[in-house]
Amino acid sequence: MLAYYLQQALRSLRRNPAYSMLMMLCLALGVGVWISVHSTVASQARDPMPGPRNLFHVELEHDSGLPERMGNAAGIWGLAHLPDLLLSYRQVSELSRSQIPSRSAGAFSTQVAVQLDDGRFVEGPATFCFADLFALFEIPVLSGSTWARSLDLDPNANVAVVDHDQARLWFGNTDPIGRKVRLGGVEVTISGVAASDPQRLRLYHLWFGGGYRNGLFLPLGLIERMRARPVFVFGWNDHDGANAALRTLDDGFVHFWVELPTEAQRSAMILLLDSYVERERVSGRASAPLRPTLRRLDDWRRNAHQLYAGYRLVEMLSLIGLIASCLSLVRLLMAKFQIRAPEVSVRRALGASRRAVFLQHIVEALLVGVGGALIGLLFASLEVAMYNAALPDRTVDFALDLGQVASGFGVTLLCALFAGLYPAWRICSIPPAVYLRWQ
Amino acid sequence: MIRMTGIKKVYTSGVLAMEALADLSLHVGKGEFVAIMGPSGSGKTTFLNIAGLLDSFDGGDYLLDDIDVRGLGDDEQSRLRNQKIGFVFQSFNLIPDLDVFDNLDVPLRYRGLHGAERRRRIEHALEQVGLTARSRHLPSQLSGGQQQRVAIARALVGEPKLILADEPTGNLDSVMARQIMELLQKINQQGTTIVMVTHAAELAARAHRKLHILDGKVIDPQARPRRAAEAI
Amino acid sequence: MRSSPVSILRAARRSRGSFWFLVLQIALGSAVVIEMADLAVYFLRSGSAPIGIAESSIFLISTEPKGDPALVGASDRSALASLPGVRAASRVACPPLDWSIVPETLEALGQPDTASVGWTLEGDAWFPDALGLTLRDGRLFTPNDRSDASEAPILITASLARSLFGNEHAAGRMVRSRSRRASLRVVGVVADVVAKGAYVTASKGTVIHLSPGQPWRTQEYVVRVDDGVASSFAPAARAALERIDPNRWIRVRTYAEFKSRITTNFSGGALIVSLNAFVLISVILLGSLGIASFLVAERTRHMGIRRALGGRRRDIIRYFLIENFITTNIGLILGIPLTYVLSLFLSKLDPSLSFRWSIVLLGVVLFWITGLLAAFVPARQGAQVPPTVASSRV
Repeated sequence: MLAYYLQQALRSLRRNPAYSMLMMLCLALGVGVWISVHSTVASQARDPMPGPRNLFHVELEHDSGLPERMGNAAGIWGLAHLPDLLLSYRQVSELSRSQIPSRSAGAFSTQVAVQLDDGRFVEGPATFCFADLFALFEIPVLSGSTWARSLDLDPNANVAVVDHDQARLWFGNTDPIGRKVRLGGVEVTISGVAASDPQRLRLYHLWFGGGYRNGLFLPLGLIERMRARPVFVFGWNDHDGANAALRTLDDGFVHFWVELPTEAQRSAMILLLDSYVERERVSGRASAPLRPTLRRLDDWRRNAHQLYAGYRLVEMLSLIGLIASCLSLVRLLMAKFQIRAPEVSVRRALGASRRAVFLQHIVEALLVGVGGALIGLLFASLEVAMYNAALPDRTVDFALDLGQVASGFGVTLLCALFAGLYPAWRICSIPPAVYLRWQ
Repeated sequence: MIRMTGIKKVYTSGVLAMEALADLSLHVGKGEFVAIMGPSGSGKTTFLNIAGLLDSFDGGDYLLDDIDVRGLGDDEQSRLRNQKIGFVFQSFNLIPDLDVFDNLDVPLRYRGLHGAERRRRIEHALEQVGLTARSRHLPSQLSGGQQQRVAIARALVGEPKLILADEPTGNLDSVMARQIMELLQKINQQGTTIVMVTHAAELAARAHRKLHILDGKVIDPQARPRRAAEAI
Repeated sequence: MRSSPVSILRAARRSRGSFWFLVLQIALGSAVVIEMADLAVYFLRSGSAPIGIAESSIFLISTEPKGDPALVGASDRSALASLPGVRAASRVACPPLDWSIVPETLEALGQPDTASVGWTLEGDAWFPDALGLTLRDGRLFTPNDRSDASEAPILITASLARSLFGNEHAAGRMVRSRSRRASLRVVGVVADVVAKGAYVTASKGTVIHLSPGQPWRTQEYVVRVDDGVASSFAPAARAALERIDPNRWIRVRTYAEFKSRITTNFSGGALIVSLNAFVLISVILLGSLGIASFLVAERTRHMGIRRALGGRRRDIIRYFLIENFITTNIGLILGIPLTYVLSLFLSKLDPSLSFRWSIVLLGVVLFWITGLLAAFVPARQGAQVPPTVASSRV
């Protein structure tokens, strides 16, 4: 019987293709808007490194005055809490001396000017970090190697690891290992090539104007010699007398992560941080923190900054828009089914039960849903491409993955089903005698 | 085949109530060909709707083929319509964008017959009305008489015990009208009960007996089936 | 033959479900579209708010000298300043729209209750002139000013001066920054300039510090030129810098370019929400067009009778337009409270996204136009029905 309903529904849709297209379009546009906006949230909420992890982000809560100053809202991007997330270079180098964590890494990303070995200047993203960053964030090193841990804070280090995709841009298909590049007057030799999976890193730390790609990875200590300018600096004004060198090291711009697999390590780390905060406070620096926080990595992704709030709101709006589109479909279906009342009455006379009429019309609504889903997903993928182009400063590439395509399809069918319920119920509950013309 | 006793039907629209059938009683025996006559607004269409289980009624009893239809659910009523009744309308009521074959297919589909059986029955019904060659034509490609033969074939295809017809020749010229009446008589002779509503006395004359409806009542309910049959 | 709105409404409501579905659709749709418009306006404003300087004739130049940054920086500045058409050139540590943030809470010395927010700009003595700031009171920096003096000189904007000193004379007053040890002397008050844009709520309370220049290797210069040379300035500046220290990285861009780069996400956000709002309005328009043309088909006979009874085309078009207008307005009336509720969510994001009647009015007008458009096309079609149709179809 389902085959018959399908056949009749197809026939009905073919009878007025323009109207059928209109119905599908109404649903498709509503779904397209929703699923594309939803994908931006889902893309950001997806954990690029799922699974339990013992990685913690070290945060020092400050009395920066920013939350009070920026009001409750703290700006659309939740900027007011940034000072708590970023440590100074000095703090990271002091804390990284601790033997408590199994591994640790400091890092910040910025935009640098690089002189390639053919003399060309290119701008590109750079991450100044510890060698253990690759292991902690599971970024595979495809060829060559990273640097020794002893170079992490060595101002005279002269090695770099390059991101695979970035290397393609800079060096074409030739092997980047052994190539020399210059940054800020310092020459470094590329020792390794890292796999391109930027989401792993960029979801877990803040990038400001860094292009949101991985580029060069350099030992953190190099900035002492190179004095490359971080894109984002939280200045604490701990530099009376304008000591420029001191200033760069005391402003906040570095993330610091520690790996603490055991409970004992975690408690020891908390004790260490407490005493560290106390020492800082005694020093009387403006940057002296109030209290430390050890934040689990997945908690960071969820809570540490509210980058998603704006996206979530637009998602909520587009969901309401989807409901409005469904209502549009309800009315279009009602009109369409109403036109068919005489035919339905003939069918009823010929023995179609109310259930049969109801099911046939639900099948028709579902067919509209299938068409709407196909057009809607096509439209959504165009929208997602447009979002990627329109929002260059984003933490992840927005994409419709298989799960979202499937759930988009499911949601569209569900919408079509709900939109069809009332019109189908109405048409099937008309007594056949009402529209049956005897004469 | 049809035994109605004291059927009542009231249409209400706002505060106005109109009694379409008032205490209508009639009996149509198996294998009969009964003509029902009456002026416009006498309740003929309401009678057909109720007899065909297309509309509910507000009082009285109705036995269709010895089945008490009062209180039957929609599913049972639909099944009865599907299996026991064939409809022939003055306006044919063919589904315009289904071809002849598919129009005949409709009642068989709702009966849930499988493909081969449906095909056999459809071909047989088309043969009976002489339209085998037209099975893939759309109704709009057929003449009025051909359309009515398709409609009759559609009524026949389910092998019903009862055919309800309303002015089956009303939209046709006299030659075609005669053909249709002959077809109906043939069907009746094969054992199908026919109840036909008409204005035309010459059509009614072909029935076994005539009943008159006026103001929602059969005015000659005593007319015995047997006697009417003898009248021919 | 005129139909009163009441009778039209009664007729519309007789269409049972359909009427309420349309009303609900307009209510939801208008609330969403209004909020999206609100967001779009917010994004546009955030991205394009003027920052108080001549954006297209002020250049931000970045370079990485090979030699000693301090020495090269000083030579670079002089070379830039002597280029034709240059009004002023300065070395800067924290130019407008810089990503860096220094939290500064300033108060008039000894008066903690005057505490006010100051967003920081930092540059050399030529910096205020290079930004083209208008002096309101006191003086700008002079070459004799020293950043490491015990009473380091600062300039403040008129807005900041007002919140610190009210209507009192600000020039010459002492202030304390909660994050600095030494007191600061206000040497002058300048017209408002915005220090932070993009991701920071723009504020006109700005404090300008004197600083010797960028502490990083990267040196930055702000240069103001005559409007006439703005288009040819970039290559000239590049050539001048390369003469001093060749073979180094140099980037020259106007403030307009710099600003549009760092506010891309805002213009992108505005584009996205307005596109989506447009799509959702289109859905409603498409749906209504479909329904309205169906209603016309349904009512062809009805129209024919009206025409036969002497109804003019105009009356029939009027009938459809009024019917649609009434429905639209009922939907909008229901939509406004919903808009209000949604705006409560939005204002959590940023208080400036609170419920605004101006945006609501914009939405209402948009929906009126959409509704009338959706009604007019099929109404014209309906009005073409010849009076004979009525009788021929009985």
